Amino acid sequence: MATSRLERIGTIFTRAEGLLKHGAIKPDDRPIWFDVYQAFPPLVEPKFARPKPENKPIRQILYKEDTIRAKFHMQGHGLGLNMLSPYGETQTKKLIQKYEQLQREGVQDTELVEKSVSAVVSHKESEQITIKANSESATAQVLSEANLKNIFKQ
Amino acid sequence: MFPRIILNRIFKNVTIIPRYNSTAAKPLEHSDNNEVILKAKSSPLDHPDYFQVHSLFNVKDLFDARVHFGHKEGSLNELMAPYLYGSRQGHLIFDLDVTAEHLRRALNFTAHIAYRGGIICFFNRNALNAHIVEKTALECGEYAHTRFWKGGIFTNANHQFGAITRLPDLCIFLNTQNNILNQHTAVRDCAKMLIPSIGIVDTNCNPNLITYPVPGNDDTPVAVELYCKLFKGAIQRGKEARLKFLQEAEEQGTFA
Amino acid sequence: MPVSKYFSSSLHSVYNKNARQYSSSHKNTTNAHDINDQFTDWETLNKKKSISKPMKAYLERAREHDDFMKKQQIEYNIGKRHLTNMMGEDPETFTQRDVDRAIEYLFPSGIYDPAARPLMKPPEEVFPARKAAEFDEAGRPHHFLFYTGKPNFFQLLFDAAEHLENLHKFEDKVLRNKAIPEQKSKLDLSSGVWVSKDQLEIMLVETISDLEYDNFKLVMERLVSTPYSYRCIDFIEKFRKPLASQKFALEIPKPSFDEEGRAYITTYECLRKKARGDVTIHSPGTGKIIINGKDITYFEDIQSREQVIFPLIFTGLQNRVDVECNIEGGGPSGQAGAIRWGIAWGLRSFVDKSMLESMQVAGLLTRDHRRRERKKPGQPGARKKPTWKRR
Repeated sequence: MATSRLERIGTIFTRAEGLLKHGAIKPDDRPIWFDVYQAFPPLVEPKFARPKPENKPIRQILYKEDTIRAKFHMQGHGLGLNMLSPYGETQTKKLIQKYEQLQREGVQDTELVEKSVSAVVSHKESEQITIKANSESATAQVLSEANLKNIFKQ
Repeated sequence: MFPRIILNRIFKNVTIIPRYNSTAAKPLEHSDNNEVILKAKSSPLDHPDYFQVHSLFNVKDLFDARVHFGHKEGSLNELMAPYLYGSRQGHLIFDLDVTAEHLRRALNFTAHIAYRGGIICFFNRNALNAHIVEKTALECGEYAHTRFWKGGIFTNANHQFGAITRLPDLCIFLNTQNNILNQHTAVRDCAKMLIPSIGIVDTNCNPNLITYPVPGNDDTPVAVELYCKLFKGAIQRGKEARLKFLQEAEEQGTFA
Repeated sequence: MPVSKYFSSSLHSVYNKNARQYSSSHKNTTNAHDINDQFTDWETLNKKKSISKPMKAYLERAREHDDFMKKQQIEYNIGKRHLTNMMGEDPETFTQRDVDRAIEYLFPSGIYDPAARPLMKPPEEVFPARKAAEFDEAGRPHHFLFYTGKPNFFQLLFDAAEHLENLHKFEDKVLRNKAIPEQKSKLDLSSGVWVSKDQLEIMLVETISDLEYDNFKLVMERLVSTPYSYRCIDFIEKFRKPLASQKFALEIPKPSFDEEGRAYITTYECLRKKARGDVTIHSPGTGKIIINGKDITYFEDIQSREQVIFPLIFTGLQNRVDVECNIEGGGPSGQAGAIRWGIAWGLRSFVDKSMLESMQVAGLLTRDHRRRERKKPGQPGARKKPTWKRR
């Protein structure tokens, strides 16, 4: 096309418009995006020479429970993550919930961390035991009965 | 992030937020109303959202696909600052309301180009996501370039392909960087050759030459999958409308 | 219903407001209305069908190419008529093979590389085939990777990645079902190698760089190394070729036995230069060698005798087998060479596999196809030039 290839001058729209205005391309040969751009221009004009936005400090995102979280993490609790079940609640979240619950119940501040950790851990262990018992009964049977030869034929 | 999303969801039933800035999914009862408008107007360009691309996604989808994650603070490109929500422990977080608005503009533009029979080319230099991008291009009958960019494919096309060649009418960059240091040369070449471009720009990218920049995470496979799905949806809607239009034109031609 | 009505009206007001904002922001660049008045609506424009610029250019080039090929064909036919005239043969039954023979006779060439020798071939063979149009009438390319410049090669990589992904999915499925992998899942590819770069280029009708060929091999190796790669054996086999002849190991004949119970084997058609003969080996024996009824002194020079006994010494069977041969034609060195090959070929039945391999490496089992080179006019020999004198 007859356009200037200096991409730093104006935008693609202004350059195409210039060509049209001065007859370098016929109105009916205009690029197909031209009308669409005109009807739905981008929110910011895509100019290369664009003033940099004013240098505002970046807002720090902090939550109320960050202080509680820090208490646990400092002692090494709740840092792990179970990648196999990403949809359950994380260890840290459980700890914080327990912490808040215990705080409401009036447990002393010095004992809060230790008590919530032990409560969450014991809860987790009991959960694991139930899962184990279940797996021995139902799912294990299904798995052992699965037709191993037929899975290749799927 | 969360409180804002929830807020919008709560208020959806109570007050009417202008569709244009809304982050929630489009309510269904709205569609029959649109058809009435559609018949009254002659050109799809007069309609604010002819292809209903607003209904393709909502902000929760973006959040689930981890679109809001940026890079670390140190690598921030100053031009990306207006698109940020903040920084969480040194990691930049995008404002998904802004992202959604930009993305809807981009999708609308894509659908219109597809409707007009334009050539759309997907770009991506991240090897991890290259296959899904190529697959998307194949599935929606468009084009992809996820390999090493030989200079001059656009700027010296007639020589490169040994014939006069029609260049793409829209380039979609699913990441705009070759590596962490250099911008993809095709971004510059698009601007040179008067080809509009859509680009997912991360916090370390320069959005200047991209016609329709979409601020968002450009590395995570889940996010790229979502972008691919959305652009595919927009292109398919555009193409369906095109098919309908061509059929009508043919019928008119036979009657006349 | 009233709610949705309000909804749509609010929506439009917002859009209109926005549109006004944008147009005002562009006002400084142009007075857009002047141009817009001249625009034909896209919908009306699109109803007129026209051939795109790229297609027009392609059709033009295709026509030029056809004309060129037609001209070349005519010239080839005229050349063929001249050749038949010169050779005094019937033009109707003069085939391409006759053309090649005539050219070889009329323009003898000692150049080693066959590609550099004079030739006359039909134009379709001389001028490489050109790619057909890569785009349709609207100028849209047919291939989704067209803009990469090497669509077929990258399509190959794309397919490999697709197969790889499917295999991973299948593997996951098997693991989930807790099955034991099948035995045949290991793919045995020892009997072949990947196609060479040149062959791949011919397959793809594209030139590829060394780096790209390495990438191709890397991807294919990775595909092969995954478990269950046998599931895409068809795809893999397309890019493999069988390893060059290990056939001799399979085709070794079993020796026959005569009345005395001795094993013997005869090799016919032992050729070297113009000599031709057959060799019979008896085992067990005492190392007797009979050539045309005489012993080894049939050859007068030492070199020829060495040639004959070399395979026997090499295999260590010089005192354990008897050799009997009939040979005719050629000179002593040609006859000795023919016998040497015949003995080595016959001894295959009497040696073990490791010896067979070392015989192969030593070149005993290789036929020597060299023939006498013809004398060229204007010089005293095949290669020899007249003595150069200053004046």
